[in-house]
Amino acid sequence: MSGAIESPATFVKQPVRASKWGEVIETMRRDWMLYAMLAPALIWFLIFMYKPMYGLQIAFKHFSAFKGIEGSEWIGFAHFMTLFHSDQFLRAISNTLVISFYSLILAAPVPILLALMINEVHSKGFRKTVQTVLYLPHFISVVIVAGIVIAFLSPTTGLVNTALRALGLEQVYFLTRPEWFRGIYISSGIWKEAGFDSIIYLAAIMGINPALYESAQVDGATRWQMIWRITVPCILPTIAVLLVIRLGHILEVGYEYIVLLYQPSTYETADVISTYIYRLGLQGARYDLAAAAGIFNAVVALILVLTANKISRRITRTGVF
Amino acid sequence: MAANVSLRNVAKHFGAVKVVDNISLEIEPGEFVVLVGPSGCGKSTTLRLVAGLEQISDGTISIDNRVVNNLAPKDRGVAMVFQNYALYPHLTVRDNISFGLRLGRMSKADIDAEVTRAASILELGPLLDRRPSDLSGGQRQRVAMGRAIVRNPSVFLFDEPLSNLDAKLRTQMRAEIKRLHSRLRNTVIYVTHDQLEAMTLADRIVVMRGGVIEQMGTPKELFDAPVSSFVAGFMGSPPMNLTPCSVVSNGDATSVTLGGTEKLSLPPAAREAINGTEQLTFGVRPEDIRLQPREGTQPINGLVELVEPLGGESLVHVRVGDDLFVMRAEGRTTVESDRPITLHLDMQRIYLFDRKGGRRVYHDMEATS
Ligand SMILES: Nc1ncnc2c1ncn2[C@@H]1O[C@H](COP(=O)(O)OP(=O)(O)O)[C@@H](O)[C@H]1O
Ligand SMILES: [Mg+2]
Repeated sequence: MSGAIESPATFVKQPVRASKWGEVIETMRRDWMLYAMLAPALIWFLIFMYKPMYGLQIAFKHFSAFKGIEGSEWIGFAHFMTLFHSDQFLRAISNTLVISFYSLILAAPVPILLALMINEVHSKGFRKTVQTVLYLPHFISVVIVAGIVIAFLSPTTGLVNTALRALGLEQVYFLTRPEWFRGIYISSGIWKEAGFDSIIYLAAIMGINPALYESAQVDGATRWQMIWRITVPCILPTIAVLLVIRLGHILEVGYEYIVLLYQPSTYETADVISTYIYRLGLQGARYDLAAAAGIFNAVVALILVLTANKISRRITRTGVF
Repeated sequence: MAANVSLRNVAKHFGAVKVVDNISLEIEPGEFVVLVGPSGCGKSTTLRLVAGLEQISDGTISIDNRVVNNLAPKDRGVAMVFQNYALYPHLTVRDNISFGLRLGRMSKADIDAEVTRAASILELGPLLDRRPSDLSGGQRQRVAMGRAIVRNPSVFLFDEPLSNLDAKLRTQMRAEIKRLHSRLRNTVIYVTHDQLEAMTLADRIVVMRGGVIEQMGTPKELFDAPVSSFVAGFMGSPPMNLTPCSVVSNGDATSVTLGGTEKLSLPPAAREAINGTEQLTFGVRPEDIRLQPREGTQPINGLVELVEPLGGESLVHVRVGDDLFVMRAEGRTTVESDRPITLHLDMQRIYLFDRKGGRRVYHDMEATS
């Protein structure tokens, strides 16, 4: 126990309790302030994360709003079978994987490169300006970002198409064409988040002992050699941990931004698991089927996180847990 | 391939703050020079100026008779060992040692030969494939030295290399550095705030204070003939007893009063040397205070405040009026706390300093040598 919050009661020999629970209650009584501080987070988890799990059983039931969760009859894995025979669901899985994969290889390195570049800026004022400009898009709501993207790519008044026309090229209906969707989604995502994501790498870079660079300088290392032989290896554990987190979320492409950008003509490449569940559950009122899709997603995601963590532990001796 | 190092009127300021102020210092090839002084006096900055990690504001630095003011660190022929070792955590000992060599165009075989040589000098052979995190403090320090050795520098720069080690290891590494120097014979500039390290390692000690050189000389010179009360109070363990004293002239005899009550009459030479100065600091080394009278000693009375047994000897702290004196009592002493005691000061070995400015005004050199 950390000494700072221990009360004198610690040093008074307590009468031996019969059960382990007695001890637990005793420490809770003594450190009640710590538990009080923990409470809001616990309560939030209980209400919004654990309590809804009760409803997960509808994934295995033929759910009827009239009979309620309890009253609906069990049907085993029937919903899962339905899903795996649905082309739309399979397409959603493959779209999710493709979008995630491209973001992983295209978007994940950008914040690292930005952090390395920011770190090389030595003028204080310029550095602050660059950082502010890079961080700002993160604070813009996705609704507005989607609005900007739509306006930007609009066939008639959009900047891109105006430019294309001025060059004598044909205008492109970007947002209605499935082959453009992934590029638009990923690049606007990079624009929005890469700067902010670089903060964590920048913090890792700041944590590197400056004497390492001075020592390398005496040894005659160039700036370039210092970046590749000191900075990058030193932040590798951070990169690995963040990669693990990303891999774990490879099946979780957020639905808000996609819902704002896609349209039926681009479902072919744009419809991901979360948007599929959203349409199925909230628009189609197929709660039981949507719950089954959600469970499948969660189980696969869990396996992915555990696997990625194991790999990270083996390679970099660092993991999230 | 040792080189000489010469600093002429070197200054460094950060903004308006003068950190190093007009330092001049000539270092012979193969000499082991220790910069010593209290924290913040500009030792590291001086070292970093020699290394080229800081740009000098004024003056000239030359290494091997070549002005290096505008040379990059790597072209100065120096290697530096840092206080916190500065090892690359992601590299093995072997790769740490060869880091500098691998930056250039050196062949793999040559690099391996260098690493093997350094490893054998420092007895690092069995550790070559470990990472720094698997090493003890002393081992890390040796790796840091290995990295310096493979560069075959003409000047070694050490910045408080032992300050992160525990006392026992420090003694051991001190001996190792000394052995290394007697084997390689490179020029060494070594920074420390520990006077014991300075005394044991240095051919020559440079005492710094507030960005200037207070005194330089051999360890013996600094110990026996400190130019100021600052140097006197810095060297020796425990350091010299320094206490303000008032001068009383009475016809032919001149005496000083210690602790407000205890009178000591000064030797005739001292009387001339102080030449009417009234504000003095009286200095006497712990080694020059005895429990028994001898020829040339004079007694003062005090009260034992504390007896610090160190094994073979004890340090006795004695209060005399407002002043505190520390003396060494050899062997097993019968001195006890809270008892009155008479100390016998060897008056041939006393020091007198001007209280303003701290310059030494009197010491009988012949008595010491
Ligand atoms: N880059 C710097 N900018 C401003 N002040 C500095 C810088 N480096 C050192 N100083 C100041 O210079 C003084 C001497 O520092 P240093 O040479 O490290 O002292 P030492 O090594 O003797 O303890 C200190 O007061 C320190 O605060
Ligand atoms: Mg220092």
